[in-house]
Formats: sequence, C-alpha cells, structure tokens
Amino acid sequence: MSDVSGPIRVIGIGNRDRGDDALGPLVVDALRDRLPATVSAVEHSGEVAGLVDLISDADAVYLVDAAVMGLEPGSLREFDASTSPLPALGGAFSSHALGLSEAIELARALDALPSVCRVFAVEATSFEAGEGLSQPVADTLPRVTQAVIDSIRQESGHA
Amino acid sequence: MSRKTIKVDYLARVEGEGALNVTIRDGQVSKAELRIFEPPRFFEAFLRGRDYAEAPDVTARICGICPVAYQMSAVHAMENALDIEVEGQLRALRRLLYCGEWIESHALHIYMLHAPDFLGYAGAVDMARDYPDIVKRGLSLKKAGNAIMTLLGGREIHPINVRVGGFYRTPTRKELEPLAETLKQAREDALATVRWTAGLDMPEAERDYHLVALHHPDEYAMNTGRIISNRGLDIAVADYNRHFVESHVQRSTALHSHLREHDCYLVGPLARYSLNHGQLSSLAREAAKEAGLGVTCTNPFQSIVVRSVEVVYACDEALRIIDEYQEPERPFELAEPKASEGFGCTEAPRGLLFHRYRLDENGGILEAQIVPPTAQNQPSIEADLKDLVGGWLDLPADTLRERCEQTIRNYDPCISCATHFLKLDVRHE
Repeated sequence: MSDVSGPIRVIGIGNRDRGDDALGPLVVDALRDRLPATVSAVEHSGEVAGLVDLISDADAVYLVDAAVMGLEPGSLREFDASTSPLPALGGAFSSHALGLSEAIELARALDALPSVCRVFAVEATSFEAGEGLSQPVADTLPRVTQAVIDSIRQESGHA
Repeated sequence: MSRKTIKVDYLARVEGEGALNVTIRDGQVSKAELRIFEPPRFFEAFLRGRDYAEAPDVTARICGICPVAYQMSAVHAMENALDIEVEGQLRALRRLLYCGEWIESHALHIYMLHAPDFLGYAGAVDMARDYPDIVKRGLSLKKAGNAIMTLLGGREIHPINVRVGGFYRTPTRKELEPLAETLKQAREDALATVRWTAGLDMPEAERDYHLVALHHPDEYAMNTGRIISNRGLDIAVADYNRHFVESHVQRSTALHSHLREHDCYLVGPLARYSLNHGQLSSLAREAAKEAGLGVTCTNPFQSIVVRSVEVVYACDEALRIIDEYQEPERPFELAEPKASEGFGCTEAPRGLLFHRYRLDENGGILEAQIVPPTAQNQPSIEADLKDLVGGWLDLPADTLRERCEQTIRNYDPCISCATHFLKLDVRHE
C-alpha cells in the first residue's frame, strides 16, 4: 500500500455524446455510492490544463478513458503511469491522445504527479456523435468500475 | 536547376490535422501549400431543419477551444434575423464570457503551443522541465479564463448557458466576486506574460497584410461592430458575402476565403490590434508599449506578444464588467420566430467568425453558412510561407522546417474549425 493520505480522485475522461467516449463519465456514474467520502469521482473533458490541475492537487489519481490500442473491442488495460509515461502504442492511445498523456507528462515535469497514477483504458470501437456505448465497451463497464474500486482498495486502503 | 522540397507530413501543436509542402526552385519559393486533410464536418448541413434556438448549442460543438465564439456568432445572427437587440447587462455578460474564452484560448496557445517554438523545445512538456514556473503561470492564466467560462457558460467546455436573446440563467453579484479575485491575479500574470514574450528571440519578418477585423466605435470589438480593414473596407456584417468569397482548392478540405477585390487577407490578433489599438485599455496599451510594440504590428511572429496584450485587455475588461455588474431583470429577451435571414460576426480568439442563417416562418433553419477564421487565414498562411521562406534558405534543413511550422503556428490555426471536422470513427483495423 502506498503512502496516501491526501485527496484520492477518480477522473472519468470523455464526452457523453460521442459513442464509446462516454465510458469515462459512465464509470463515474457507476462509482456513485460505491466510494467512501474520502474518494471523489469526477468527469472531465480531457482538456490538458484542467486535467493537470485535477491530477496535481491529488495524492492518488485513477484515470479512466476510452482508447485506441489495436486490441479487441472492449479490452481493458491498466497502466501504472506514476513512474513512466503511457506507452505510445503507435501514436494512438487515448481518445484524448494529446490531453491525457500530455497532462500526465506535464504534471510529471512540474513535479506534481501524485505517487499513485493509474490509467484504465478500454479499447473503443466508435466515437460517433450521438451514439451510445458499443456492446463490447458496455459489457466491460462493470469490470472497469470494479477494477478501479479494487485498485483504490489495494493501493490506498480505501473503499 | 535545383529543386528542394520541405515537407511536414503532420503538423504538431495545431488543432486538427494538416501538412505542409514548400517547393523551392533556383533559390526561390515556387510553391507553399498548406494541406488540410481532415474531412469536412458538414455542420452547416446538420443545422438545416433544426430550430433556430438550437444553433448556439449545435455550433458550440464545432470546437472545444472556441465554443463561445461559435455561440456568440450564432446568437447574434439569430437575433439579427428575429429583430431583437440584447443590450445592457446581458450584452456585458456576453462580453465577459468572451473575455474568458480569449484568456483561456490565448493562454493555451502562448504557453503550450507557441512558446516552445521560440525556446527550441519539441513541446510544452519539454519546456516545463526547464521552465516549470513559467508553464505554471500559463496554466494558472488559462484556469482563470476557464473559471469565467464555467460560471457564465455552465461548464468549461461546450458551454450550455447561452441562448438566443441572452442566457438561461444570469449570475448574481455575489457569484462574480470570487471571479474578480482570480482575475486580479490573472491580470498580473498576463502583464508578466507580455514582458516574457517580448523578450523572446523574434525572427525579423514584416508583411504587407490586408488586415480585417470588427470595429466598434466605443470598445475593442468582440461581439458587434462593422467589418473594417487597413485598406479602406468598411462594411456592415450583413454585406459580408458581397465582399468575401469562399472557394475550394483540391489540397485542402477547408474552403479558402478571399476578398473579391484584394485576394488574401489577415484576421486575428494582429488585425484587431492594428485596427483597434486605440480602444485597448490604458493598461494594455502601456504593456504593449513597454514590450516594444507600435500602434500596429505586422510581424506575424510577434503575434505571441499581441496575444499576451489581448490577455491583459481581456482580464482588465472582465474586471471592469464585473465591477459595474447589476443583475438584469430577466436573463433573456424573447424572440418571435419569423421567415427571415440573419448575419452575425464576432471576434473568435483566432479572428473573424461569420455566421449566416435563413429561417422559415416557424424558426426552422433552411440554410446555414459558417466561415471560421482559419479558413479565412489559410491563403495568408501560404502567402507568409511563400514570402518568408526564401530568406531562410541558408538555415539547416531541420531549423528551416521548424521555422516553417512556427510560421503556421503564428496563426494559432484551428484546422478542426476550418473543416468543421468530426472524427466519426477512429478505430484502427
């Protein structure tokens, strides 16, 4: 267990109106009432400066985003970004490619990255405007929600 | 005959996807082409059949960086069509919201996208390692802009509180108070930004631009005014299409804009500053003078300094509006739908943004036309490259390529806006 005593934050990145991009916000919804008061869950668009802010004033962050990693649709991958950057994976990673990895690296460069920084990425199939989650990503939603809860419990001793 | 080609296959640190081809023949630039290959977004077509009241929210989705600009041009065009005037505190609140977007968008471009060019870094992350306090100042400035957008717009990105006739809800004086404290600090940060950008190593480049911007007799124009230029253009917004024309060129999915009689022109901070310098606040004018700027500026590289001056102004103006704010009696003016046509033009952070709508008797949108600033500046970007690259041919190849990219970034181009691009499917198969 890491030494975490300050704010613990789950950040669901995405846009509710853009197909699988809604994953992050929907995980935030799913976590409601399942987290102790010491852990907050917030939705975010992925805009760099705002994200750096949210990341850097926490002691532990858990970031959830839809991603393009070249895996089977709905696949869940977990990354520990606290010590090394997110893998480039051919230049296409998060649906907020510039936002998420740049925000993490910017926070690191500013010496403001929390000691716990975990990224939960789910392979998306579509970011089409006005669509809901694709079936494979919808099927993964409960699993990624549970993975976030387990990770918080394991690393921070909360939840 | 010697021939050399500079190719940048993917432009970094611009919003959207574009590339650049410059061909040099016998020491002369024979061709400079900015290729925009994002597919068009068809927003103008999406709008057809929608209700007039939906235009601000639909068009806000065109861009995550300048949604307020789209909302403002849309509401002004609709109000023009429906013959309603939004005055007093509602008008002032719109200006305050626009100040938020200018601060936020300019701070992002100055610190994250443009400054790395001047300091020789690949991007903001590398720059942050050596200049952490400067990057923190940029983030903090951007955050101040976001704070205005969140309070007035309802949320940071794609604000939802703007409607034809005003706002869904207006803030109380008490709600604006903490914003004033944030903005006082932001104004200090903005002044420091002007001093800092003025000290950057600035390439020499004077261009003979046809500068085009909104002009208002009583204020540094943001939302309303006439369209003027440094070569005598002075027209009402409704006459835009009589003087400006859009055309398609094969290399770009964004339409190119031209003045019918004068070919390419420049919109954005340099044009606004040069045409409306006298209407900046005295603090902003003073900061510009100390930074070594004259009353006009036509070195495109100095746009980073001019943007910083505009951030000072936007902070100053936002504070003035908050100080004078009285809660309006009602949050919006009512509009009655009717068959009509309306025009709106406002100053997005990147320059003039024109909207035109034709409505049926129930307020349904029959036709929509949106001309974003990057589409208007595209020919000017190419003209800059054609004019300037010839003087840089002695530079090493990498430096020359970087200088070309920097020349494009001078414009803070938003290619996503220019093409109205929507990524419909980014799956790799």
